[in-house]
Amino acid sequence: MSKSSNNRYNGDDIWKNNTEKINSELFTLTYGSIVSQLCRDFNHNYHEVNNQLDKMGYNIGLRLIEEFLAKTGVGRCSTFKETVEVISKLGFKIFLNITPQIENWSSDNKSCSLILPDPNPLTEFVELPNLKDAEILKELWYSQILCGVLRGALQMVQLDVDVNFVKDTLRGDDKTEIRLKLNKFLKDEVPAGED
Amino acid sequence: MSNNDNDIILASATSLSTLTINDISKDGFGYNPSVGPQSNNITQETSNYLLSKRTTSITSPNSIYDKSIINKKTNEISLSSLSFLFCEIVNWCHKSSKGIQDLETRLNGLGYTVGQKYIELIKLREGFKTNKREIKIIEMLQFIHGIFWKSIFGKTANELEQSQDVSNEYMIIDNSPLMSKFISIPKEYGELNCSAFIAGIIEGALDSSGFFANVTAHSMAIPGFPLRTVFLIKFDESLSIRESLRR
Amino acid sequence: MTIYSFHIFDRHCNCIYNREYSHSSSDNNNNSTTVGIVNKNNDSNGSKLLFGILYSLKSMSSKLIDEETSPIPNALKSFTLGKFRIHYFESLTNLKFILITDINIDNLQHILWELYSNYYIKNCIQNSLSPIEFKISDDLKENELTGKINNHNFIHQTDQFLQSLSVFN
Repeated sequence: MSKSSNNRYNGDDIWKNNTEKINSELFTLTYGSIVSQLCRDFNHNYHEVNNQLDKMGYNIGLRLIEEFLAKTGVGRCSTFKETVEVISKLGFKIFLNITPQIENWSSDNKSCSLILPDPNPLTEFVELPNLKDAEILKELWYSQILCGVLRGALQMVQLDVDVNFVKDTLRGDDKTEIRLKLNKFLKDEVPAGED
Repeated sequence: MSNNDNDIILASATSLSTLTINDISKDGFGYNPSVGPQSNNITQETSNYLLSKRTTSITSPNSIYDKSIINKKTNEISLSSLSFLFCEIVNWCHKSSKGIQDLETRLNGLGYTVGQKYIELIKLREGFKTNKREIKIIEMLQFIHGIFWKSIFGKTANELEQSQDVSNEYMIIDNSPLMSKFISIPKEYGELNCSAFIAGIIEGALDSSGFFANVTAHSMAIPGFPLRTVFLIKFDESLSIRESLRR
Repeated sequence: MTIYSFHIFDRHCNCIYNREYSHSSSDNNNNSTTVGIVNKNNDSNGSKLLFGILYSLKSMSSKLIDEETSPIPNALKSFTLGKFRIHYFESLTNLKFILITDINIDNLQHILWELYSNYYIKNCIQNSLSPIEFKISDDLKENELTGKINNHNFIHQTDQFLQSLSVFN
């Protein structure tokens, strides 16, 4: 990890030179197709849909973090604040080509908000069918998969973090906001039979 | 938009042929074919009708309908993001499917909705440039194989062939389809080809354009291209009749 | 100079990959078919001892410095045992990559990084249907077998990569 200190915050470079890219609309529509499939599979029980999206995101996070570390060579962050910076400027940049703003730090520096730009690659072309189904506006977090991804990825680097949406422009809110809350640092596992 | 059903201005007679000169619409508004252009004259009565109508705005300042989708520069994202997402989609479909065949059907179904939407988008964008609407099978296939493929997958497909044995059968061949790139199929998945999703995209696009077809994906590796996939497109019988009329 | 073996341990302390290369003088022909064994000794005492010693050394190295204030972690990179040198790399996600070589090979950090950042990522992480969690269940009892990397492409490509190195033989 000798290169870590040099390109620590150089998301633009990695994006430009070291990322195979595709048309984001294919991604948008593909995500849309699975969300609507889940809505049908769970018979429009949107809590279940949120849960399933979160699970899928979690599984993605477990893999995505390895690729992220391999591509960026970042070393361990010393503070949670630094971690969130890396998530926004490197993580979101490299994978979705957006850089969410970090706002609203709590006084203990353990929770903060990520504000996603609007529209983002998940929600472009999307409008929730609120006329047919009023519940959807109150219950579905359309981009919930992102929370799962963050939770899974952070857990792999020994950070136990709660991640959830608090606002979404698709629901008519003024912005799209993800709240992160650091619970604890996880310890390395020890071999069975040892202390 | 769906709540203005009751606002629709109804014709005053159920069938045009039963209209007589004395039939005017209930609201005194709207074209009366038995009267002709005169029925559209603006009168006090019709103006009052329009002015008194209550309306709700269906566009808001932030509505997605207000944004241009034609002139917009398309964004790019990392291919990895799509492949991670696609992997999870395959896993989800696998869990809820009864077998490989069923899994492919599900992937095909998901792709279908993508194709339906993407053809609309690309036709709006590229249709303006090419100034053309494809009405023959060959033209349509060339459009899918070329412009459509390039726009959605970043490159054109490799070959476009017509079956010599079966009429109405065509093949689009891609030497390394985007969706299969990262997936190596374990033995227990047998003959699964994840390009069933892409087959669905093609089928959705063709069906939406009025070229009714069935599209399936088949792995046909050749040296140097282990992921080479043939998309077999079988058009509906009715299309051959239409083709012969358009000759 | 010789590379004897290659191990990967996951964050649950299980040996998920074990590759032992045989360098018997009998196969001097240029037959490139792989020799040695794959995933046979994952649960052997040998690999448990290896994990144990690495675990202890790692704990010790972190106790030698004050991790709170030191900007560079006191990472374990290699150590020697008589005729052998054991090269060690751990990812931030607690994957441990280990190469056992003879004592003449000085530094293989870049090779270990390559095994992780290229071969492991490409064949295991980006391959959706390849598992990344090898623990079969949470309440796994001692001596119960755990999953392994049986991905053919990974085995084949890492073999080729390691065998192409000048330090391999």
